[in-house]
Amino acid sequence: MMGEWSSGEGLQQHMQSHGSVPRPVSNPPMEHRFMPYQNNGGTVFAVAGPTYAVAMADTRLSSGMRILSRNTTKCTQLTSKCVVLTGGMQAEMVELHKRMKILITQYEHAHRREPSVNAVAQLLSTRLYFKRFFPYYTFNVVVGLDEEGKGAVYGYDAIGSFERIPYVSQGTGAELVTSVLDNQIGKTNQTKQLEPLDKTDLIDLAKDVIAAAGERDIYTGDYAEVYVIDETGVNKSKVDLRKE
Amino acid sequence: MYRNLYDTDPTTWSPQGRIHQIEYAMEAVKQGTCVVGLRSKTHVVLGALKKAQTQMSSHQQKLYKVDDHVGFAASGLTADARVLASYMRTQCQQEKYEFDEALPVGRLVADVGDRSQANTQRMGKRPYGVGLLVAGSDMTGPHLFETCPSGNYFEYEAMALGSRCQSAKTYLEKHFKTFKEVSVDDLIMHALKALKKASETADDEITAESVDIAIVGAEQKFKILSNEELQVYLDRLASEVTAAEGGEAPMDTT
Amino acid sequence: MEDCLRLRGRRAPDNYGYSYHGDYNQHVLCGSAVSSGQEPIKHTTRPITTSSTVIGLKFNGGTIVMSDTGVCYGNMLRFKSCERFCQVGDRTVVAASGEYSDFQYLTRDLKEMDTRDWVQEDGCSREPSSIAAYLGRTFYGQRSRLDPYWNQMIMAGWQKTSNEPYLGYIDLYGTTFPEDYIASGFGSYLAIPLLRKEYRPDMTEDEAKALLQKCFMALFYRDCTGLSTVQYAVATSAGIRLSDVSTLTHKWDYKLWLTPTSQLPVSASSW
Repeated sequence: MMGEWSSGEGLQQHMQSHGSVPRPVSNPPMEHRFMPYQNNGGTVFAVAGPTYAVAMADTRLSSGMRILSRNTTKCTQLTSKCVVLTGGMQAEMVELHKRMKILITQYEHAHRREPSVNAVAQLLSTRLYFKRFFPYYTFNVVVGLDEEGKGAVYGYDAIGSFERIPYVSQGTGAELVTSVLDNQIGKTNQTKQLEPLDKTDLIDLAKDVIAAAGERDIYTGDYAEVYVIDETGVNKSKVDLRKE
Repeated sequence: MYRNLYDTDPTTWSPQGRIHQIEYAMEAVKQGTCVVGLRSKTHVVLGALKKAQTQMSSHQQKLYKVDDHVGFAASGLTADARVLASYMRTQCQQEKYEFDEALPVGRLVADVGDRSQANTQRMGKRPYGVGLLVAGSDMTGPHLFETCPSGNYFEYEAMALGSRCQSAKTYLEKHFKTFKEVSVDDLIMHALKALKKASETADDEITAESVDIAIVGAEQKFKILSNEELQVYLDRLASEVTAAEGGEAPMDTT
Repeated sequence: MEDCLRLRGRRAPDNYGYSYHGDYNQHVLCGSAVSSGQEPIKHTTRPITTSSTVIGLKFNGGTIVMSDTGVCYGNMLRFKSCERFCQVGDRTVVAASGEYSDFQYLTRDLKEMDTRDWVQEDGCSREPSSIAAYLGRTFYGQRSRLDPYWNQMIMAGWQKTSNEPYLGYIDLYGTTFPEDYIASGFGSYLAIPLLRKEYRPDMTEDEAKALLQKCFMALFYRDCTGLSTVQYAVATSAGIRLSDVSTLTHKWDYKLWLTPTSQLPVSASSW
């Protein structure tokens, strides 16, 4: 009914009940253990521009082969110019985002201003590493405008390693997205010099990239949330993706 | 010489059935500068007179934001107010974490009341020496509460605390029946006029530096007005006063 | 102070694995969960007494959730008339699949929370979304202790402030989200395709109920732990309505099913 038993158990039970393979005396007692992690799938990515940043996340929520929800966000706006996007396990994402919001509110009470994007980025790293030995199963992107008004994108691993980079993608479709971004934004493997993309082209490219990921990755699809962060603040919109 | 034998700690009753330590703490509230709070159908406004300890120091903080939907004005010991601010912020964050919802103002005030009361019943503790006017907005509308060092709390339409608050109270008592229907701007004006009454008795002028105003409502996050925003209302106040005095030029206050 | 917190409609922070000043108890993660010199602490490693499908959907002007009344012990349908709904406050109802004892415990917990809210007498009552958030924290806290509440919860209610229906999902990992239609247990495999085909947001209550009954018929025929006795709850702006238990009409005397397989032509099996 619910498939959350530890792997391998079914096989062992099968062997015992059929009696064909007697259990060796030296076998340790079989241990049942709850697996606290699951991957709910989804793709998030972000690209930094000179005076803006673009971030995207799909809204599909999967569990195993089932789609639980087609419209569940992976993004939380943390300040007036900073958004965090998270792939991986949804329950951990909810927890992490809630905790980040609490910490940022505390920062605002203490300093009477909102934290800068790089302060938020460092904070997230600290939070993740704090749970180094029972990590949040989350793959994060922090995106926003830094104190100079430049687009800032930070990529993380699950335990808090992070770096500021021009573009990053995370989640089940990360490999698909990265290769296109490497080519189109990083301009790798190009024989001739290419002009950098302007803002509109970049947003269009981002939409194409998530749509492409939705075509090939079964855990990515339904809708994509598009965040464009510039001097006017955080602008959010939504695009349709493949629904199967 | 008379010496009170029954006032050294809050766990000792006097034979008259009084706890002097609590009463002294209630007196401390009256030592602070005047703060006022008033409520309309949609908003609550807090106002405070600020003092600078010396000419060289900055003005003390009288208004505290607790959360997007609630804040308070304090009169009495500022240090105690800061402790309570931190406690109330914690409570609000806890509620947000757990229930994804703003903590109802009445419950927050009840929490403060319980905490204050605990200090009045323990050996070696002292009551908080601060009174708060808590303003907030929740699913049951806008609210204005007063909390006391004793642990008591009351809900009001309008209230004033602190030194020389009586003249502000008199002003509020005269006008509070009209507050329900007035606009936010007018509510702020009423707050400034009440504060003006209190400051006049001390021969002080109210300026953008010596006054703080905060507003909160269903659609309005708790916000302390900036000096520029405040100046607009102070100018309006000055012109209304001038008009009332028969159109004469404003008094030279240099 | 802890006592004060309890009185204010909240439990001590430690109960949901969160404390404002501290963090998750990391000690539960360091191998053996054995308290000093005592019996080993026993965690739920698998559900024992389980119930299956709950399906909920939003219709025009409300939310409906339906479940059957069966609870199984392993593969045996052990209890045949168990109510799987818990009303919290005046406009939220929670329906559970999974471990029935965990659900009963959570029922008590939610009712206690409701009482603590009620004794405040301040006119504030919890929104369904807020109760969903609370359950989400509770489930996440338990999963973080590796001792989960082994349930999938579907909750229906009416959001007073935004004046709209609410339907939400919570599971043993702490996954929480609102949706237009949700199915748990075996229904997440069998009922979802039917719902995808026939669900419309502008359905009437009767249409919604008929669709749910259709889903439960499909489940009754195919899920060996499914029952034909069902119960449903409807949440509207007027509050919660919990139905009596009713039996779905089912039919087994199809000709193909009555004829012994041996007498059928090879091509005419029933599927």
